[in-house]
Amino acid sequence: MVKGISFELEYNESIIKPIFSIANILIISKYVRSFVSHKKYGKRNRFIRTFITNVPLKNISNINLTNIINMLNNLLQKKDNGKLAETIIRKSDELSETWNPNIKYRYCTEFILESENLDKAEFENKLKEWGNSLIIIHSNNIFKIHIHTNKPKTLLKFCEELGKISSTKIDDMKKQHYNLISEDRAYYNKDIALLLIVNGAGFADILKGLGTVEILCYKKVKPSVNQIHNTLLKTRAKNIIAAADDSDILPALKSAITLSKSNIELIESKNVVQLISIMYYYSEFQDLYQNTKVIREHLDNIKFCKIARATRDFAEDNVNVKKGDFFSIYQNRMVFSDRQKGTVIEQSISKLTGMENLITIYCGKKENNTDKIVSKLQSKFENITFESYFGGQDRYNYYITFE
Amino acid sequence: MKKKILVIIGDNLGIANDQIGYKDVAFMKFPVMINDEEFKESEEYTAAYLIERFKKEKVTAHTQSLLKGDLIKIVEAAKDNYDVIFHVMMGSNMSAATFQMCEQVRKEYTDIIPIINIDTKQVISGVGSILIRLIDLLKTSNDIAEITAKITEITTNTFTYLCLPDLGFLQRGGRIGKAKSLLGSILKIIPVVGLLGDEADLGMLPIGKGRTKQAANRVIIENIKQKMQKYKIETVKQIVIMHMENNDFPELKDLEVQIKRELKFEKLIIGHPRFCEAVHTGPGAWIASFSLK
Repeated sequence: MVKGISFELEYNESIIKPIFSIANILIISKYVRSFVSHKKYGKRNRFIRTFITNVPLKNISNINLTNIINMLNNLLQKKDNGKLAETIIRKSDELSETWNPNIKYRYCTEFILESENLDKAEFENKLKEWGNSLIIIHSNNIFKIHIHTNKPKTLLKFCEELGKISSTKIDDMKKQHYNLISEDRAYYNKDIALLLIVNGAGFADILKGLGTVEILCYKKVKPSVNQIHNTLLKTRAKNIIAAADDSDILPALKSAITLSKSNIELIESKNVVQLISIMYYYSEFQDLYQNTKVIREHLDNIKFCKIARATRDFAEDNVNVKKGDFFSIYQNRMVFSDRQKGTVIEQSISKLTGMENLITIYCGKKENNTDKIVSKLQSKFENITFESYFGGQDRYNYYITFE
Repeated sequence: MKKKILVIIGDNLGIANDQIGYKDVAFMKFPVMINDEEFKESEEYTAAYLIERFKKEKVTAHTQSLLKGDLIKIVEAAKDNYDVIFHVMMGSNMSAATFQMCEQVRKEYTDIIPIINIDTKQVISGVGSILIRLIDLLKTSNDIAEITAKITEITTNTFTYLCLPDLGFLQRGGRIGKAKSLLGSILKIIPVVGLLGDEADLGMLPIGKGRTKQAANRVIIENIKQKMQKYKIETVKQIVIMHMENNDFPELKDLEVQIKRELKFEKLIIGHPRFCEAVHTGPGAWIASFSLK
């Protein structure tokens, strides 16, 4: 309590009055309540007495908090004033209640709809079914809509059928409220950010080079909820698009998202090639809705296969693989297997290449030099351009993309 | 009585002089500094000449703004023979100095001859595209106010996309703007940047990236389709496409095929690269400008 009041009075340098943060007001009020209800205001607590007596009440801008501290001051001056103690507890409860609203419709949704033949009254009636706090501003064929709803994305899809939508904004009011009253408030410094979780230093650099992106690069051990949550916090963005290169990370990512205060859209990607595809289509100049829409449309655009080395004997899709053999997988199906990795790469490319004219080989951590393989491939497939990059991934020896 | 109208144009218009289709045109040439020596476009000094020097000698080049003296000479010669001058300019978002100089000249001649400066908010074929649209308007109307209003509307509906294999040229010319987020990729990509008429104040914007030339063309097609959907346009009024080195290169042919396959349009023009344009695009670049309305 003392720390909270002192902090606000010392560190706020507002010209008029220090602006107490909501979080701090609630904490101070909570401690006053606890202090009073546990009857800790006996004469022995001299420090609190002296402190509360000397708080400059005129410097506290929140009138409810001023009243509570004033009453506490009075309480400290008198003996056995049970009524005043009850009033302080009640006022403190009321103050907490003010900042604990019952949010029935969670998402504050705003967008612009351009539609030629839309009747405003009819449209308004339709929208009323979706939530409350509906405001529609209408000019010619342009409608600006504000509504609180629990199904913002379904609502946007519904409205897309009526015309062209743009300038979408979806704010999670529960998160906004939590952010407002929590002690560690997040301070946003950008509207949108992209967070990609990836294995391999090479891939991390490749993704960074493709645009503005936050990268959480992990090694063999997948990132914890805490690590992801901290990275989400560091982005300091109001809206975040998050994706990982492995579906096993999704549960941790989902948990981290529930802890975050930002609006987060999860892209359920399963591999690093999809992350590259995300980078092709992500734009920091588009809003969250437009970005995720385009990203999801193109998530599986890049055809690829992966090559790994078997750690035991097994058979799949009529292909027998012995321990130590290399094998290639395309769309979760076995393509080819052989003792020599060069042969697996060559055969996989032969089997999978269609109209593509650029093949890119991303080498894993265990592979160092692919120059020989690439020059051999280049001489065999004359009409195709080959490029090779260091991906640095732990799990697969190679990713091969066909573009 | 039909008004006599002169059109002034700089030489960064992405089309050849004979593609303009209007006889009363005065050309201004942007000075190009190559290794601190000044050049202007001529039969010898062309885009091909500069690109060849970029490739062989790795020269550095930059452009300077149009010279006020050159503009005054044109206006002086025209003031007694014409009723109005339209000056079609490169976008003020790309060269504020040229725009300010032209505005100064316009003010100086206010009482002598009306000069209408058209800020195209465009470069290269975007400027050429707006010029051709202006010429079309001049052939059908004599109402200066109506033409001016119409051409202003056209500028907000003109979109230019540049596929630039080396963004370094744009960066050295100080025109990269927000497209700098596409710089420094480890992966070889073809960045697609754009000057969009409806977002012209933002300057050069990153539109997307393609790993292959076909993919870069795809980015253009998808972006212009989004614009058409946004503005409810079914048929594009005019498209200008061009390659800075050779219009027969496969990437431009592929773009032409994709345009013909996927877009409805009234007019498709194959442009022509100009000397000063090569300074900012470098070798291997290709460009498309779409005039929607």
